[in-house]
Amino acid sequence: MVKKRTTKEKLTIGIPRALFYYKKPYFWPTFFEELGCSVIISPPTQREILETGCKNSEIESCLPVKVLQGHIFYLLDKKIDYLFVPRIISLRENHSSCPKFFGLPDLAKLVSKKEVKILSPTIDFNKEDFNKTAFWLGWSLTNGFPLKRFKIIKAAYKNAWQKEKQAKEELNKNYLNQIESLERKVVLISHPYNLYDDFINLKIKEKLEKNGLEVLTIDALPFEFQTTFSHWDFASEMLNQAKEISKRAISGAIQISSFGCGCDSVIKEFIERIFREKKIPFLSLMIDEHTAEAGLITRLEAFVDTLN
Amino acid sequence: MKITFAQIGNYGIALKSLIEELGHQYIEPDRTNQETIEQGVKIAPETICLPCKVNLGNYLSAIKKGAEAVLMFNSQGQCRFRYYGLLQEKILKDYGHNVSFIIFSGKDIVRKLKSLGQVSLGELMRVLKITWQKIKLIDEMENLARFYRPREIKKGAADNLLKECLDDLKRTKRIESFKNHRETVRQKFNKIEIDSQRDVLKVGIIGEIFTVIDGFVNQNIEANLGELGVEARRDLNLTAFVRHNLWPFSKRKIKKQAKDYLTFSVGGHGLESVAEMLNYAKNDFDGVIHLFPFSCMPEVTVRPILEKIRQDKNIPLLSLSLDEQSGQAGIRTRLEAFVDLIRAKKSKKS
Repeated sequence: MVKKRTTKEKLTIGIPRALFYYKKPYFWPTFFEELGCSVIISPPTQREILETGCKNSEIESCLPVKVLQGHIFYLLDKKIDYLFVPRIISLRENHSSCPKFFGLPDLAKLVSKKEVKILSPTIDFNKEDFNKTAFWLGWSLTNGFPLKRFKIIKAAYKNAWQKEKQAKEELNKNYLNQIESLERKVVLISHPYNLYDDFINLKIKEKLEKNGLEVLTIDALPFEFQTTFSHWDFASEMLNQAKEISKRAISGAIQISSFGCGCDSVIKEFIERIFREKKIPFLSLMIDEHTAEAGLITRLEAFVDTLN
Repeated sequence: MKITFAQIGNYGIALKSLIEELGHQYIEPDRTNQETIEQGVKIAPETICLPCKVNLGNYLSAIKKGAEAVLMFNSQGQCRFRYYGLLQEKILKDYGHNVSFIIFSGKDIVRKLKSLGQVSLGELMRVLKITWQKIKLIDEMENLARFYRPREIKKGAADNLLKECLDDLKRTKRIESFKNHRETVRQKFNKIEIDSQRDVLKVGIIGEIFTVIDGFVNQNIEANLGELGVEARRDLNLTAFVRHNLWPFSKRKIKKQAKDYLTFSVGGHGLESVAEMLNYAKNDFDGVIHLFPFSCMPEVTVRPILEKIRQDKNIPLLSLSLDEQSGQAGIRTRLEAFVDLIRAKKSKKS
């Protein structure tokens, strides 16, 4: 799959800061750096990135995929040897990802240049443990004596995982502090790539905080996993977390979904029902590349006024 | 129990016999029409794909006729179709319609249908065999109609005959009579007068299964093409769908055909679309029409790939995304333009 390195030059790996990046923001960069590669992560989404993305991708695709396309184009302009676009089939046993994730490497191949190779490990928790997938990926990126390589990869995996874990723990701790606060609390429900991409969500978190609210993000919630009706891993997690938070004293919930998101059109119905049962005000926002700030502010203000 | 099943193409006939042979009453929803879609859109989630909205409209019309239960298929696949039954049940409950859902999938079809009909395994197999024969026959008739439509001398002859044959099929009940039936259908179609001199273009239809099969949702695209002197070819139908799911080899074959462009199934019929388009390109078709409901996850994913195939293989592609707003005139205009284009391309070549 991947050609072995012959010179002592460092390999450069480009990671688009979109979609799958936000699922493990610390793991991949650390892992590749520890393996002795240099890593270029595209900058946070800007107007130009979004515009190139929209221009060069399928019009009916969902917004996150268009954003990803923009980041890919940004990275292709830089000098990179590999473009990292994993094929994420599943991140939890007996579950699977959004089907749009399945075809991402093939789509990246369509727009990629000849000299850039696509680095696309298949991540499937149903078939293979994650450490094995990471190991073979690391194996293809290193060279030297097998034992040495083995040690390097093992250390890299461990460190990368630790970093990811630490970040998650911090997030959870932060959540526990927030939930104790006496301010009115709203919870933002969305996928990580919408929650943390400030250009896409138009800094919604900041806007709500300005209105004197404590803003929780759903992915920070520690929870015990229980199987739900959904076979989508992220949806199952979200439903579990939504159920958990609906028991707490929160004043409102806001769901952000991107236009064209197929999964959200189903999950939204179920998440809305959870909050409706508890009589918690629920606002559903749809974002796309044309979302204007003024409209969003008006809707948020109206929503905040309904909270008590 | 009075059971209904959502309309899909002409397969209502087969489903009717399935439910009736199991000892229940089949309530046929009105044939899908504008009214159905409007009713469905009112209660469906805003951004769900079109088939779900059409299904809901169908159920509403069946409930009016007294349906008590809905039989629904669950593909166990990757796309949203998997949740249709679950979602539709919740929505209908919300709106105060008390219908129970019987959701079966490929895995538990035997168990579910057995308990539904309270029949023995042997009896169920007989019922399934009849249904299967009917499905196969329907597909065969449609194939014949597709061949005769662009060649017929008397306009509408093939379509009228198709309707007549489908009505006949409704009355057939015994397994032994299917062989005869098939023979008569062939003979009847053979009698249609055709103009063998006519220059008939060949176009392949690919895309999402519901939109390619259901004539109302795709604005009768096959009949329209026939009128314009184009023979439509469609590999995806219920027979193919069942075969792919029962026979793992055919799936592997599709994967092999598509491997240069798409190496992994993206759910739904995305991989099939790519493989079929490559097949049509290989067999020198004059063009390909790609149909899918707006925001369909698998088809949207493969559309850039189809676009790439169009460039690589130099085969014209018309990609139509259908939703509740699509109108007859709009689609017809685009079809006419497309047919003009491929006709010009063909005459240039020869």
